[in-house]
Amino acid sequence: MITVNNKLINRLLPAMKITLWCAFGIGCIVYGLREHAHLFVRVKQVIDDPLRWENQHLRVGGIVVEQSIKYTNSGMEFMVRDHLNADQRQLSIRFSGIPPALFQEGKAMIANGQLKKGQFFASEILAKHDENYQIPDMASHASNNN
Amino acid sequence: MLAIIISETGRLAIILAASLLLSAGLLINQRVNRPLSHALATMNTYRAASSLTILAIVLLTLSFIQNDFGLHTVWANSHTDLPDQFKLFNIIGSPQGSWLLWTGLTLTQLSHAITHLYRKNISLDTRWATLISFGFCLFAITAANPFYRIVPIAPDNGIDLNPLLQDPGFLIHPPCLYLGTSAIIVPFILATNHIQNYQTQVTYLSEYIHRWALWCWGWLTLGITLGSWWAYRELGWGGWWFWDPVENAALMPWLATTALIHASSARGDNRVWVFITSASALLTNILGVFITRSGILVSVHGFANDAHKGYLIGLIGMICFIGVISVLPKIRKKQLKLRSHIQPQSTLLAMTVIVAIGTLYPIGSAWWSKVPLVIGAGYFEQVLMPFTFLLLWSMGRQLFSQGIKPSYTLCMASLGLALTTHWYFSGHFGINQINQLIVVCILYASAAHHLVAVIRYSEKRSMYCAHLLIILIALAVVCNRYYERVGLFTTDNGRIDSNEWSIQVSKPSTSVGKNYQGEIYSLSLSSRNNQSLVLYPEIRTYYPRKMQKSVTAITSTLMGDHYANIHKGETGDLTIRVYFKPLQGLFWMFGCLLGMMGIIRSIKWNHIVCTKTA
Repeated sequence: MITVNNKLINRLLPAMKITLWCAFGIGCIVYGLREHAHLFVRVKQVIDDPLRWENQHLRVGGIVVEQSIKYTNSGMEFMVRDHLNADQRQLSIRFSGIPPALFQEGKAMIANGQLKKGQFFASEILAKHDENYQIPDMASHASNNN
Repeated sequence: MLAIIISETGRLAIILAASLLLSAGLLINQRVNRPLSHALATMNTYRAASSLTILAIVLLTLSFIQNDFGLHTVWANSHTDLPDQFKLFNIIGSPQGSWLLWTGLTLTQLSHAITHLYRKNISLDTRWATLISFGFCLFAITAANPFYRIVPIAPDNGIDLNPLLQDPGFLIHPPCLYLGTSAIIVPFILATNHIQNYQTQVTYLSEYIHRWALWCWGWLTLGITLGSWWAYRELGWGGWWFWDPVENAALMPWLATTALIHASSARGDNRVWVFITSASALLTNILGVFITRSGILVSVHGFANDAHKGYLIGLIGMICFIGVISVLPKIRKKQLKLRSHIQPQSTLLAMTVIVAIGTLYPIGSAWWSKVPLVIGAGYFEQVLMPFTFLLLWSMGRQLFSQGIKPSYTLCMASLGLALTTHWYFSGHFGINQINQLIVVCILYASAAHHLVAVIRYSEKRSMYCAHLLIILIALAVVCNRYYERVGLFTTDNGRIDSNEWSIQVSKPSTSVGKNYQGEIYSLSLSSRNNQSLVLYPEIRTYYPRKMQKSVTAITSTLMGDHYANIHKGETGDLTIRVYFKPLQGLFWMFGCLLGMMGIIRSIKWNHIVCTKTA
C-alpha cells in the first residue's frame, strides 16, 4: 500500500512543482502588466476627450511648445501640442522630477503620468534622441498627406 | 569613376555570396551522413561567402573614407568634416552598413566552426545554417542595400552622422554586440546536430558548444556594458539602463546564452537542455533584430522607422522557428528526463520569457484591442526581482553543496560593511531604509562566501569568479539606485545654493572641433560634506545637422561619479543637472571584466600554443 502511494507521489510531485512554479511566474507577469501598462495616447486625443482619460495611467506623446517651460517651486510646468502642425491646441503638463537632457522646447517628448482635471501630472519624462522621430501613427499620416 | 568601381564591386560581392549560398543549398547534400566530397564543398562555400562579404565590408569602409556621397548610405551618415575615426567606423553607424557587418560576421564565424569540425572529421548538418545565412544576404541585397546609388547626380555633401553617435562609446559597443549576437547561430546549429547525432564524438561536440556559448556570452556582456556606458555618457538622463525595446533586444539573448552556458556545462546527457536554450537564444536574437530594425515598437534608439523592411526579417525569423520545430520530433523519449526542474537555466529562461512578454505586449495589445499600450520600467523591475533572488539562492546552494558552510564571522563582517556603506552614502538611518540595508547586507554576505570559494577551490575557479563578479555588479547596481543624489537647477546669474550642493558657474570658453563649435562651462561644485570639485560640461552645436548636443562632464572616483550637464534656454538662462552616482565606475569595470573573462575562457589557449610550437 505504501509503495503504491510512494509511486503516486513520485509521479505527482514533479508535476505539482512545475504547475506551482508556472502559476507563480504567470501570476507575477499578470500582476506586473496590470500595474505598469500605460495607455499610449496623442495630445490631440487627450484634448478631444479629456473625461475619457481622467485618472488613468497614460503615456502622452507630443511636442513641447516653444518658450513654455516654466520652473516653479514644486518643479516645472510646460505646454505640449500635437505632432500635427495644424493643431495648435495645447495641454499643460506638470512635472516635479528631473527631465532628460534631450528634453527641449520644440522637440518631441513623451510623458508618463495621470490626467487630473484637465492637467497632466507626469511622473516621468522621456525624450527621443533622433530628431527625425515621429510616432508610427504620424509617419503614415504624413506620407498620406504627401 | 574609382568610387563607382569600388561600390559596384562591393555590391557584386554580396550578390555572389548570396548566390553561392543559394546554389550550395540547392546542389550540395548537407545532411549528416553525406559523402566526404560534399562536406568539403560545403566548407569551401562558407569560406568563399564569408571572404566575399568581408570584401564588401572593406569596400564600403573605403567608400566612407573616400566621401562617395553618390551612395545613399554614405550620404545619409557622413559629411566631409566628420572626423576620420568616425568615417572609419561609420559602417556601424548606418543601418545598412551594420547589417552588412552582421552578415559578414555570421558567415565568418559559421565557416570557422564548420572548418574546425571538418578537420576533426565531424560533418555538420548545415541545411538550416545555409538557409538562414542566405536570408541575411538577401536582406543585404534588397531592403538594406548599402551600395544603393543616388541617381542621377551625386550631392556635394552628406548630412553627417547623428551627433549623439559621435562618441568613443559608440565606436566600441556595436561591434562587440554584433560579434556576440551573430555567433549565436553557431551553438544552435551545433546543438541541432548534437541532438540528432548519437554515435560520434559526442563529448567533443558538447564541449565545443560550451566554448561557443562562452564566446557569444562574453561579447554580449562586453557589448551591453559598453552600450550602457555610451547611453550614460551621451543621452544625459543620468541613467544607463532604460528597459527600452532595443536594450531588451540585447538583454534577451544575453539571458538565454547565460542559460545555455549553464546547460552545456552540466555533466551527463544534457542535449535537450542545450537544444532548448540555444534555440531560445537564436529566436530571441532574431526577435531582437526584428525589433531594432523594423521600427515596430516605439524606442529611444533603433534604426528604421518604416515597418515594411521588417517583414523580411520576420521571414528569416519564421525560417529559424521552422528550423527549431523540425528538430523537435527527433528528440528521443529517453532524453526527455529533464532531471531537476528548478535549475538555473530554467530560471534564466523564465526571465527571458518575462522580458520578451514585456517587450512584445504593446504589439499584441495594439493588435487585439486597438489601444496602444506601453509597458513601464516598473514591470521589468518588479517581475524580475523574485527571479533574481531565486538565482542568488541557487548560487548559494551550489556553494554549500561544494562544502562551504555559512560562516558567522563573514555574515557579521558583511553586516558591518553594509552599515558602513549605508552611512557613507546616505548619512543617516531611517526605519524605511531597512529593506535597502537588508539587500545590501545579503549581497555583501554572498560576495564574501564566493570570494572564499574562489580562493579555496582551483577546480571551478572561473565559475566562482563569474558568480562573484555578477554579485558585485548587483551590489553596484543596488547601491547606485538606493544612494543616488540628483539636483536640477536653473540660474541666470551663475550662482546656485541648495541644501545639498552649492554651485558656481563661470563664463564659457569656446572650443572648436572639426564639425562643431562648443562652449565649455566650468562648474565649481561643493557638496554638503565639504567635497569640492570642478566639472567642465560643454554645449556643442554640430553645424551639418544644426543640432545641439550637451556633453556631460563626469569625474569618476572609486566611490562614485559626479556627473553634470548643462542646457541653455532661449533667453540665455542655464539649466544644470548634477548627479552623484555611487559605485558607477566599479559597475563598468566589473561588467567589462566579466565579458573579457567569458571571451578568454572560450578560446582554447593550450591548443593555440601547441600548434605554434609544433
